[in-house]
Amino acid sequence: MAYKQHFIEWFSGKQLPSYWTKVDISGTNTFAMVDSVDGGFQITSGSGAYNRASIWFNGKNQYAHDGSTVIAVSKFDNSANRTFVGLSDIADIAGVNDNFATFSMLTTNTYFSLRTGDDTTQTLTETDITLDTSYHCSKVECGSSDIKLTLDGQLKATKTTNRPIAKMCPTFHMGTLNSSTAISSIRYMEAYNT
Amino acid sequence: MTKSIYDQLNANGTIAKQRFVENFSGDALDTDRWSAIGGGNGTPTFAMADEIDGGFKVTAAAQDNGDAGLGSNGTWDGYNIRHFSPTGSVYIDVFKNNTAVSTAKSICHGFGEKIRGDSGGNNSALFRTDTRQTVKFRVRICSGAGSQANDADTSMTADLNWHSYKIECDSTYKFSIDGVLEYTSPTTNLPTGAMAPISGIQGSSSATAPSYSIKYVECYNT
Repeated sequence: MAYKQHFIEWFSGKQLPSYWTKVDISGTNTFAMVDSVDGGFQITSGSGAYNRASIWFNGKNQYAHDGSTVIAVSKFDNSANRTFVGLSDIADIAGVNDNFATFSMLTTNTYFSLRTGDDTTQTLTETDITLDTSYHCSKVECGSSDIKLTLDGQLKATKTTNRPIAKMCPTFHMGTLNSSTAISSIRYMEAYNT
Repeated sequence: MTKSIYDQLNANGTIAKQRFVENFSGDALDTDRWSAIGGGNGTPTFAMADEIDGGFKVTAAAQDNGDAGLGSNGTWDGYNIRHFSPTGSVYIDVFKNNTAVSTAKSICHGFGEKIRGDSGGNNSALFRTDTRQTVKFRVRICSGAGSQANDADTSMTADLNWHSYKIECDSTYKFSIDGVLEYTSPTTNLPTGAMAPISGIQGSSSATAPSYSIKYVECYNT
């Protein structure tokens, strides 16, 4: 079988590698490798209304909407925070006209969720795992007929609606939902076509 | 067959801890991940080797205390990005001294809180050689308070060959070379602060510029 595209990021060392693009979508946000055990990489939002930021591959979309997997170990502070980690064709995973398949950590939800967009509409399917501030391992599998979210080793959501219709790239997006600082961290990301 | 590296490294349901892997191959050192600097004594050189299995080469100036090192901070006295636990982590590298023990007061590699060529300071666990002591490969642990009470020879006479080194940090520290356990520390005088992968040189008054090469580093929390 021919090798397909495969990407791994450990988020360790001096700073974020330059093959990531850091994007201040709104406000001035802070991107930094964290100097602590298991700290990984962190984005801290600015304190302006809906300040938000992403790291992504700047639209170099190498992963299939209907045949890829993205795995991440990430967390958020659950203080008026929205964090989406997975695959996307846009840095600002916010509205319509976006293709994405992400693990969603959104303070306004009760549970962690699987959130997808099909270039027109975005919707989410909640899991039964209550939001917290711990690291979790998310695995989002984009298949030809559905998208699955496995959280910490257990299948927690399957979604057949509003699935992406175009190729995407690894994306870690976060922002504040009000005018206070929000913080999100990531220490592992892997993406591959299946 | 799984296609996920994650699933190969972690049992199902495990939330992976920090890991770091460096292969030292390519056009140049990945300076997003590493700082390659000297401490101000002489002019060090850093180069990817154009030879089979050559890895990356660090050379200090041929002068007393000539220094050079790799870490994750841009200044010699600054703290690295310290992702690895003093009580639950592993450091692995493939490393060789390129010059005789007599060329350097210290050639060291392992975990440390700062880039150091002299194997000193606080919070480190290192393999090293030292022209002032023996011609063995040695181990040294610097505790959180700077104690170097855990400082010993291994059984191996220092040579200029590649070796695989492993440091396991737990309630005791275990040092292995080429798969053979060479030293187990007591439970005292151990690091108390987080650490990062480092390597470095502190030169002697030898006329030969001391150097080492490194072609693999892997670290992870357990």
